[in-house]
Amino acid sequence: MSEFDDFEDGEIDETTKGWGVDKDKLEDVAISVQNLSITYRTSFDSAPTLKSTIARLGRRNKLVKTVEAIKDISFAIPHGTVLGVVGHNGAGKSTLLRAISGIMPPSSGQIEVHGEVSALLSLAAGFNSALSAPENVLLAGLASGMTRDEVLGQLDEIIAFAEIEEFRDMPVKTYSSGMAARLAFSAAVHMKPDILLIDEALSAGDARFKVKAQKKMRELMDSARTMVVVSHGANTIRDLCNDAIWLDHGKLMMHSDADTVVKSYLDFMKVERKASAATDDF
Amino acid sequence: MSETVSNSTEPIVRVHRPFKAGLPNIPEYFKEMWQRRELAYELARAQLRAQQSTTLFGQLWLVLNPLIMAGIYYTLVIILSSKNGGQSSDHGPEFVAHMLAGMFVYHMITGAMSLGSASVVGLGKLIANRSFPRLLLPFSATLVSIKRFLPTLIIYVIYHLAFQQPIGVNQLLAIPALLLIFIFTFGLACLLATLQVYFRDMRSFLPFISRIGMYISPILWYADDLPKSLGAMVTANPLFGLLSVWSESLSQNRVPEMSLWVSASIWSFSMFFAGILIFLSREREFSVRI
Repeated sequence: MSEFDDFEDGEIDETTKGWGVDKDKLEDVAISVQNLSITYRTSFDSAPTLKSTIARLGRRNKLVKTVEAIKDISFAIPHGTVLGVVGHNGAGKSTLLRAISGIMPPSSGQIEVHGEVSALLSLAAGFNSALSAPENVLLAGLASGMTRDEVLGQLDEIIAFAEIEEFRDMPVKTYSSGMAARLAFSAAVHMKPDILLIDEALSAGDARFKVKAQKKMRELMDSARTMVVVSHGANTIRDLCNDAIWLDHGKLMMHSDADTVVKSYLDFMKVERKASAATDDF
Repeated sequence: MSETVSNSTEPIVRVHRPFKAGLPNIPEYFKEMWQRRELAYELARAQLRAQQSTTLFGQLWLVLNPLIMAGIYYTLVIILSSKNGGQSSDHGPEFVAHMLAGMFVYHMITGAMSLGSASVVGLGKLIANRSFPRLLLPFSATLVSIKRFLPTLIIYVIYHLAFQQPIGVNQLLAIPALLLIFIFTFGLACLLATLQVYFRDMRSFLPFISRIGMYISPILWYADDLPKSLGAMVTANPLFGLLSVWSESLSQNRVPEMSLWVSASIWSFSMFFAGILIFLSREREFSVRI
């Protein structure tokens, strides 16, 4: 019997005790996820057309698939926590972040978020390539619920941190991917969120900017901001996070300190790889 | 849908709950939409800037484009009617006033159809990253079309005065007529924005729909000229009543028939509520469909 048999059917590991589904036991709760399930329907085609839809109807092919991205998970974290989220591709990590930020409403259960949220869920961060950096930052800020004055007050700092002063008034389509990623990261961290959600975005820019980005992250941690970081990088999770959850096929496998979760996840992955190799031998 | 609880000392608390009957909490949604209205205005401003519509030549083009179209169609009408034995007096200054009034507002509607259909798919990255009421996107597209329409109204007024077209108190009825057209246009923009998410080739059908829509609407002909045998077109074409009440009150200083007002109102509010309802019922899936 493997050590991972305990995780069947999304049971929460013993180490989860004390981290709490019961948010009342937590002082100063930042995020409380209660029996969250998320199911959505999406198309088989990345860009479905009326023509392809009609053609498929004739062949009685399926047009949509139902995705159970999150399956009845519960956890809560206090303010000041830096929560890492690990799991393989399709585990539900990005969907969880979308749900916390309010982009994807739950199918059942609920999420309580105590504080303003800023999300960096993709490196493009919602930029319109025809507009300049200030115009894009203003739109992103307004979409996040900030006022025009609040965004404009942060604008110079955002541009300076992203190191794109020279290209400030040029359309974003003229930027390199690194410049756009730096701007996205800078905009997300300078919007003074209580809770910052970051999905695979710590690779923004070159090696020098990565150091700068990590320094900024630590500043935010020191000022007791809550962060949720999705990353495939075990070292990133270990270095930045003091708490972590592991998702597998939408189920919560473990919620504990970052080291324990990363170790268990990596061990699980090794077991899976061995099992996969053994299957391949047949 | 998210519910927000806040007081001055405690941090804001958002509770994300499942939609009921596929719809968000409507009062909360529209409250949040009102709070984020500046986003819609800024999106509209950004779009106008990107289209150079705020520059002198950009503004000039906004006026020239429908004027050139009106010139082309006027020529076509004259040629076709002369072949059918029509009198040139049938197409004097009052007909041109009717045609301009109809064509300018129709240009606004088709502009909103085009911008509205692209409003959600075109801002997919913003949708994937930020939580805000998506209805602001077709609303912003409608705002852009209205802003682009306003300069053409000035041209219409100049023409109306220069060619001594009738002026009177009945022209005030053009204001509620225009409001009905705006309401209809916003609903249509919502509907097309949703359809474009599900069928990405929807926009390629729009030019055909626009062209047919113009021919079957009272723009190149008067509503009164419609043969009785084609009466079904009155009820089947949403724009028949809307454009008739607009043109008759504005260009002819007439009080449009009550039946036209009823048709215009029913189509306007039906499209408004149907467009919003369909949009809201599908909004949850936008972030994973784009």
